[in-house]
Amino acid sequence: MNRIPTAALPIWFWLFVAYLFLPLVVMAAMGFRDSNFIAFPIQQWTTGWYRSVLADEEILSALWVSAQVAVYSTTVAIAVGLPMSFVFARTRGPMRALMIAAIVLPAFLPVIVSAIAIRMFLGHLGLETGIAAISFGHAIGSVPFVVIMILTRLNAMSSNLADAARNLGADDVIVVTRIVLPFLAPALFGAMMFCLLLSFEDFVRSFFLGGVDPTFPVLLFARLRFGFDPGLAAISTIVLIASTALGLFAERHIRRRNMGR
Amino acid sequence: MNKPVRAKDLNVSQSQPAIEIRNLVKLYGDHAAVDDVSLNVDMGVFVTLLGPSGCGKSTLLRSIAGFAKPTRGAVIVGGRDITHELPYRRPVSMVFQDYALFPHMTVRQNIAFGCEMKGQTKAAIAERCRQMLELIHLPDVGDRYPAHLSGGQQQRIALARALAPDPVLLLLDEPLGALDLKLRRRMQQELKQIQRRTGKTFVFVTHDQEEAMSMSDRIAVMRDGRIEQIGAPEQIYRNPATAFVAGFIGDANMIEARVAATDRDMLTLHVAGQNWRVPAARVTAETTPEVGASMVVVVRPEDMRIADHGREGDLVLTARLDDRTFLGGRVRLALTSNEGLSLVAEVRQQDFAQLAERVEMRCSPADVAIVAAAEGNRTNP
Repeated sequence: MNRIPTAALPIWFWLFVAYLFLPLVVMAAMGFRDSNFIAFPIQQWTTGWYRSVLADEEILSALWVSAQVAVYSTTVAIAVGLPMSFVFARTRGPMRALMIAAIVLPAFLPVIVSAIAIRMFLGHLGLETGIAAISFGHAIGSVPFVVIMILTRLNAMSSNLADAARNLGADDVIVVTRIVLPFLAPALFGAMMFCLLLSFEDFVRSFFLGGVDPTFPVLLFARLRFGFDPGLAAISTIVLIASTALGLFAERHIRRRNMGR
Repeated sequence: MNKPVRAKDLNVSQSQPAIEIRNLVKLYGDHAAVDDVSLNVDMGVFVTLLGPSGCGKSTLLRSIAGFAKPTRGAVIVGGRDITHELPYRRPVSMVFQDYALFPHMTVRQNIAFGCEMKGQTKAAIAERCRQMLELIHLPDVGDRYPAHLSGGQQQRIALARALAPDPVLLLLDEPLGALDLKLRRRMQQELKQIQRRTGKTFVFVTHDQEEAMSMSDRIAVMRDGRIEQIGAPEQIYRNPATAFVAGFIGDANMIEARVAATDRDMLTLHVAGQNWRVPAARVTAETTPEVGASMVVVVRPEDMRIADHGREGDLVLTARLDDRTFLGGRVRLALTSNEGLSLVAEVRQQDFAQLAERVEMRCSPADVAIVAAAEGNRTNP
C-alpha cells in the first residue's frame, strides 16, 4: 500500500471523475451549437436549441406524462411498501426472511423480463397499456426499495418508543401518527425521492407498457432514431440539471433530519 | 419477623395503598415469570423490586404498566382495579432503561406529550413543562433535541416526562443501568430527592443491591418469580428471611448448622463442631425449626469480632488469616477456620494491628440471623 506514490491515488480519482462528467459536459455544450448536427469544434454558438425544446409541444407533453407516472407509481409504491414494512418488522424467524425475499426479488429480476411479463399479464386481463399500466409497472420495481429503506429505519426504532407513548396516554392511532410516522419521515421522504427518480428515468417498462403518449425517455429514444441533433443534447441537459438538483435537495434534507433529530 | 412471599407491612398507614397487587401470576407457556406475587405499597413510598436477572421483576413492572397481560391476579392502583385496563388508560408512568425519548421531538415536546394526551390547555402544559425542567435542574434545554444531550441529562428528561402527567405511580425499569458508576451514584441521590420532593410513589426495578439499599424505603427481594422477602433495607439486611436473601443482600458468612435441641425460647445448634445456644427469636422464619433441621447461621462481616475477650455465649471460631484488604479506616480479612470454613470479617484498623497468625473470631448470638438451609434452586410449577 505504501509503495504506491501518494500522488497516484488522487490522480486515479480525478481520471474517474473526468470519465464520469466529460460526456455530460460535452452534451451540455452541444446544445449551444448553431448547426443541425452534432460535431466538434463548435464554431458558432446559440441558445436557440434550448429555447426551441422548451417550446416543443411533444417534449412538454412527454415530460407531463412522465411526471404523472412518477407521482402515481410513487404513491402506489409507498401505499404498498409502508404497511408491508410494518408487517415485516413484526414478523420473526424464517417467515420474515421468506417474505422479504419475495418482495425484494423484483429488484434483481432483469427489468425487461418483468416488463414483458406484466405486459402479457395485462393482455390476459384485457387491460390497456398507458399511464396506469406504466405506473403499476414502475411501482412493482420501486416497492423493494421502499420496503428496504423503511424497514431499516423501523429496525433502528426502540420498541420502547411506542410503549412509552402508550404509557403516556396515546392510543394506537396517535402512536402511529405522532410517533411512528414522524420517526419514519426521513426514510419515507428518501424513499419517495428515490421512487420519483427511478420512475422518471425508466425506459424499459415505459416502452413495453406505454400507450399512445410516450414518456420522456421513450420519446427521446424515438427521436434518436432520426439522428442526433443539438436539441436532444439541450433537453437532456435540462433534465440532467433538474434531476441532479432534486437529488441533491433530497440528500441534504434527509441528512439534516437524521442528524438533527 | 417476615415470612417469605407474604407482604406484612410493619408501618401500615391509614391511607389507601398506592398499589395493591393480589396473587399475580404471569405464565409464558409453562414457565411462570411471575408466580403468585402479592404486594402492597403505601402512597409516597420508594419501593424497589430487587433480584437477579430473570427473577420476574421486569415482568411484574410491565404487568403494572399494562404491557404484559397477567394470567391471574389483580392490579389495583389508587383504589382502582386496572388489571384489564389498556396501557394508555392507566394512571401510571414508566421510565424505560433506554429512556425511549421521542427523537423527533424537542425536550419540551417530549415532556408535554403526556399532558397533551390528557387534553390539558396549552397554558397549563407550558407551565407544567417549566416546572418539570426546574425540578430536574435543566431549565434551559427545552428547545433541544434528546440526541444533543448527555446520558445523564436524557435520563432526567425521561423522568420529567414520566412525572409531567401527574401519575399515581411511577415505574422505573433499571433507569440507571446505562450510566457509568460515578454518574449513577449522583443520579441515585437525585432520584431519591425528586421522589421526596414530589411525594410520588416510586416502584423501582434493579438487580444492584447496593443501589436498592441506598435508595429504597422498602425492598422486595425477588427470585424465580416470587417475592422472597419484603421490608425496610435495614430489616432485610439484619434479618434476612432466607439464605438466598442473606447471600444476595450485602456480604455474609453463611455457616452451616443443625438443630440439636429446642426448648421454649432457646435453640441449641450444632455448629462448627460445638453446641451453641441462641435465642429462638434469631430464627427469621415464623416457625421454630424442628430438631435435626439443617440451618444456616448468617453473620455479617462487621459482626465478626477479633479484639475483645468476648462474652459468655459467643460462638468462637479459631481461624487462620489468609488475606487482608485495607478499606481506609477498616480492614477486610479473609480467613479459614479450623473446620475449613471460609470466613470474611471487617474490623477496625487498630484491632487489626494486634492481630496474630491464628485468630479467635467471635460473634454474639444477638448479631446473627438463622435461616433454613437453601433447598437448592426452586423449580417452578
